[in-house]
Amino acid sequence: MDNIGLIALVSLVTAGFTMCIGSIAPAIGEGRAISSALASLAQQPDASSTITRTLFVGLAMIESLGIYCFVISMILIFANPFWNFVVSRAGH
Amino acid sequence: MSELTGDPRVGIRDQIRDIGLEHPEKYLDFVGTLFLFTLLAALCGILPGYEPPTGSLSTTAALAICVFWAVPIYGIKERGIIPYLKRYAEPKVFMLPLNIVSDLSRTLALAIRLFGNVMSGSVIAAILLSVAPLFFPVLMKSLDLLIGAVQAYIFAVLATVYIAAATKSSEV
Repeated sequence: MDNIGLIALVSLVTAGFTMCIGSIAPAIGEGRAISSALASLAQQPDASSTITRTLFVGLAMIESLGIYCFVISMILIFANPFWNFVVSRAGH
Repeated sequence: MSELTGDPRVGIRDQIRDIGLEHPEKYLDFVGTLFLFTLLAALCGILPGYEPPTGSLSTTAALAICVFWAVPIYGIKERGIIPYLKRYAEPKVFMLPLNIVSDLSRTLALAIRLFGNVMSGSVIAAILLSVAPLFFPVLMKSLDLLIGAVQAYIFAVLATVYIAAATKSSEV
């Protein structure tokens, strides 16, 4: 396989694995966060505003990990620097 | 719901006070502008042919850099320059580089988080338009509006939390 095909293959497979593995861990973390927030909401409904706000902030923190992986996979697919380099070299 | 129907300044002020800042009026301009800008940028997605400005990394980076500079400005204004700088050497001096890196990385995280969330909505809409253009893009667009509103709230809350951490004296 030539270099262009190899780079395209590795980029696409890595993008897929990035999304796959990178969404597992945030999903587990968000599930745990929401379940414990629900438990404390059931125990203390009075503190619902504080718990909800902290939950949202924490979820945003956790979710940003998944978003990083998404951005990386988008870069690998649409704005791959190695791909652009090889294509520009092949044009000569 | 009173935040949605009444004067937005009142709702934002109460939220800032809830997070722990004593005088929310001082921070209302900055945080309120950030919140309303990101919220409107997301909610205008119901207009046809609209590209959200927060779907570009340049816009979100600019917003995050605003937060990056607002934190020391508010912190120094509130506590003085020496106690503010001392905050970086807490709890021990060898934490200094880590504190500086955490300041930089949270700015990057602010920018990438908003950008990624808004951009993913556009990308999903584009992909769905080519795969199942009949009904599903509407569902994803409405989910996108919700995500945009939540992200605007989170951006403003995180900016407030960072400012609160910088302005609060740790001697309490």
